Amino acid sequence: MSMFRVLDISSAGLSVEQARLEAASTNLANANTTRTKDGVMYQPLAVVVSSQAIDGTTSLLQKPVVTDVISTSSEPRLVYEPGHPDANEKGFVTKPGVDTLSTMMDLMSISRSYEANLRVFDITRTLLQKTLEVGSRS
Amino acid sequence: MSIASIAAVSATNIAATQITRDMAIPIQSTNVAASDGLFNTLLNHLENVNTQLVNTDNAVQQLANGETDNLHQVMISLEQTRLAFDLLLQVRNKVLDAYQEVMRMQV
Amino acid sequence: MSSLNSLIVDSISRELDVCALRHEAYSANIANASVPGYERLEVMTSSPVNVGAMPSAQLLHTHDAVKLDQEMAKLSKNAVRYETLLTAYQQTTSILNLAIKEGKGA
Repeated sequence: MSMFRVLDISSAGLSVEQARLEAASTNLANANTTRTKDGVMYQPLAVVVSSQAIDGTTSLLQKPVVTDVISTSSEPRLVYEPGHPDANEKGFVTKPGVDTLSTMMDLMSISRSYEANLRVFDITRTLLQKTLEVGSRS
Repeated sequence: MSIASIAAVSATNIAATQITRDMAIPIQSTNVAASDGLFNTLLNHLENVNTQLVNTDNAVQQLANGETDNLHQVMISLEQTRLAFDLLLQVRNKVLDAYQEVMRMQV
Repeated sequence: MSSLNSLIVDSISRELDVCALRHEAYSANIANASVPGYERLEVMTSSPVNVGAMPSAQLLHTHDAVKLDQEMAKLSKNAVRYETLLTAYQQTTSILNLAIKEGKGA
């Protein structure tokens, strides 16, 4: 396992965090979508991430990979809005079961993870460059 | 020319040849004794440097094939080999200079 | 490795190996931090049992989850150690280089 593969691992981490970011921001944006174009309720997205071994090595080192983006089946919320066109006879509108607060917290942790991976990438690159400079100054 | 003098001359010739031969052998043996010190060391160092060059070459080849584990090993190996070779070069220059100076000496 | 200052170069080189392995482990930990159920990797160095044998380092799973800020701190500390070793190697070698070149030019 060389240091170059570390760059691969870090960039895989960045991709995973980016996918989670997309899912979280999509959920937040659609938190009040009562109807999608198919006419069904919007279901929050969740990203399934798992660790996979690096191709061609038997090392314990693994990189994170997005294995699936699924629609969760979370319970819709009922919001009391009598004047809404989609309100039922009691005046409640069913809205997607997006927990806005916890999605915001997720965004914060996603952001931290992304920045951490970015810094790791940077540090790895610096270390590799310093290694290459060995022997160049007499 | 008497037979005695001819005999004396040829005896001197033989003696001279013998002396030359006697002188030659000690010079060779002193060379062998000297090479235990200087030349053997040089030869050993030459072999070391050659081994290092081959090993470093292999390491760089692995790097080019993308199958290297440690970049820092390759870089360190490169520099150490260069230094060892440099040392060999300097010693060789010094030995050459010494030889040329000896050859320049008026006999 | 070298016949000139092989002792110090070999020990620096071994330490660099361990540092590089640690860097790989910590980088993988940080990348996999958001994977549920991921156990962080650590590098264990074993002291040689026989005198004169080389210490070996290997990766192993600890049964802990990844704490992002701690992992970053460990990675940074290890990176500084790596650069320190590189600098130590360069300075040692440049002294030797001076000796070989007798202080004249490149």
